Amino acid sequence: MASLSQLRIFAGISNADMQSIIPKLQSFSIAKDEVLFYHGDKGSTLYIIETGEVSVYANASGDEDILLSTIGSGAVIGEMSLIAPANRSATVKSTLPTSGWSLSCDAFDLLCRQQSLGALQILKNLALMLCERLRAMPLYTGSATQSTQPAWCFQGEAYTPDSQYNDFLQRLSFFKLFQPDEITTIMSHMKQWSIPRGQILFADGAPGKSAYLILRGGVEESVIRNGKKQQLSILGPGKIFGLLSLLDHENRYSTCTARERCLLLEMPEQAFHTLFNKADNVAFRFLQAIDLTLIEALRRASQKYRTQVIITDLLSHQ
Amino acid sequence: MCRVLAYMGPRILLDDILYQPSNSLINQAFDPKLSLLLNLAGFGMTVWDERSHKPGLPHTYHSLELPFFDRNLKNMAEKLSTNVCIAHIRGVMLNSRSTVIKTNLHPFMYPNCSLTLAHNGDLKSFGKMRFDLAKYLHPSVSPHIQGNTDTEWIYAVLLSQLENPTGHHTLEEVQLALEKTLTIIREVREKNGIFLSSPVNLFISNGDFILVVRFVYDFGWYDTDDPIMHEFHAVYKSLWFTTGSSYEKKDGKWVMIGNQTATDAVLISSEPITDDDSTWLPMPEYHAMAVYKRDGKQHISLRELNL
Repeated sequence: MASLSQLRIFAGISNADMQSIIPKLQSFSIAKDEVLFYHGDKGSTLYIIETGEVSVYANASGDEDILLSTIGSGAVIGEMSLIAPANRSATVKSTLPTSGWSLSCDAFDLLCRQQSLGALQILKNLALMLCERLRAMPLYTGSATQSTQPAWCFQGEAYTPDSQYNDFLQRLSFFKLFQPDEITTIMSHMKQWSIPRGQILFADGAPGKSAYLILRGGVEESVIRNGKKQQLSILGPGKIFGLLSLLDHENRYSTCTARERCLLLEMPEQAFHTLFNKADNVAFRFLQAIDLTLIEALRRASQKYRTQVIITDLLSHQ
Repeated sequence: MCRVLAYMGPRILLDDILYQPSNSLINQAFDPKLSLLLNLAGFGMTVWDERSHKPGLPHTYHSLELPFFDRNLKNMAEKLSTNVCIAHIRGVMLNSRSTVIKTNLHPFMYPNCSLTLAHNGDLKSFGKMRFDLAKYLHPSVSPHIQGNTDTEWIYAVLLSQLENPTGHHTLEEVQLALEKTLTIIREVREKNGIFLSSPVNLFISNGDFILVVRFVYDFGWYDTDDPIMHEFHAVYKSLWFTTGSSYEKKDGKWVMIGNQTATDAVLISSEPITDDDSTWLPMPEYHAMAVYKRDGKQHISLRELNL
């Protein structure tokens, strides 16, 4: 148990705050060659390996499973299922007798509702871990590390958010967790932009000073590879983009363009960190919304990468 | 609204693609996984079979009967095979303002025309567009319009952009006509001040190829007067495909057989037709995909629509 605080997901949690988390942990133990969970199983538990070793396999229909990695003591598996339960994307099987600790999403949710400072720190750690995993996605490798592009390309004026959209904010995916008065608090930090179709918002490699939430319209995220644009995703109302640079202070890893005319809400870096570093109700929901956004981005990027690889393969065999 | 399925590949029993998979098109009438609305306003299909009498002429079927109760359809599906087909179940708003009539059923195919078209989408404020769209109709096409759907007008405008609407056309000719049609619709929308989100996923075929489009005008511009529709327009309308050597039942599950680069059999659908979607891929947004034959081999191509 003493070694738990060494794990990245628990980093920065004081001994006193760990005391509220430890009773929620369940011990688990599996024999050699036993499956911890299968690809496609409902995933709602995080596992921490204390001793032993497991292998992670990707499911490939019609063929043998593909070994992705083998991990051992100190590894954390299924951290995304803590706040966004979904079907497991891989099969995990022990290669040695393995034991450790698990934390269910229900137990974690209870900690959040009790406003446990330990849970708040887990949400922050998770955001940083997800941010790193997104940056490491093959889709983004080869991104410009620096460009001469400005942080924001649109030459126009921002204005105070339009109140006619107040009734719709809670319908937007980013705000679904918030109460109306909490949305008002967040909105007080935001500026609104009206962007014409086709406008580049920021470029790959540019410095990142703000995150943006789409109120109406569509934004295309893309990268240039071998001189050719590759579309990565189309984001619609309620989606937030530009988050990573605020979390890790690195430059943008993709180019964002208004694919349709857009109404955007801008959250400047300072406002973001004010909310990120608070410890009240709004901070919990804000961090959960940020983590959910990153998890969705990661799942979307994984699917996009798989699609791109297969489509490239299909087209090259024509 | 609406669900569509297209297939091109080795001959396959219709039952194997319409009924048997766990999330089959027929099941999607009452239990779609990626749509909030039921699809109860009729079924239609255009089916080519290379071994049938006059193989260039498709078999067409349209019925307002709920497809899961339709014994004729089930019986036919168990007897007929296809190598190219487009099947459609129609979804409309569940209220008395919707027009549920046979002439509104997809896929549309006018007399003496070789092209068929089905649609999964909704052109907002379409009633305002008709007058201006009429200017783009070929005199030989307009007399055939019988229904009141946006889809039939998209079909009529598309045919009218071809030099000879009743001829047999190459894929390249239809691709060009399609891009002209989508541009005309954008211009007519702008002229009439229509700026709300309008998805147009199209499925077009003449038996030689299948051309599909995943496209939305003014994506993300949900109607602020209609909170229900907000949910529809906040996400890009789905379109999925899967490729392989043949579509078969393996270990109790319907799946594409063969390696991932094989394109001998292609299924394209509004949503995966099996609960296990691990072999399905989402088609990129704002793109058109073509499935066609060249030198005796089936190919696919993909192009972005910058309209």
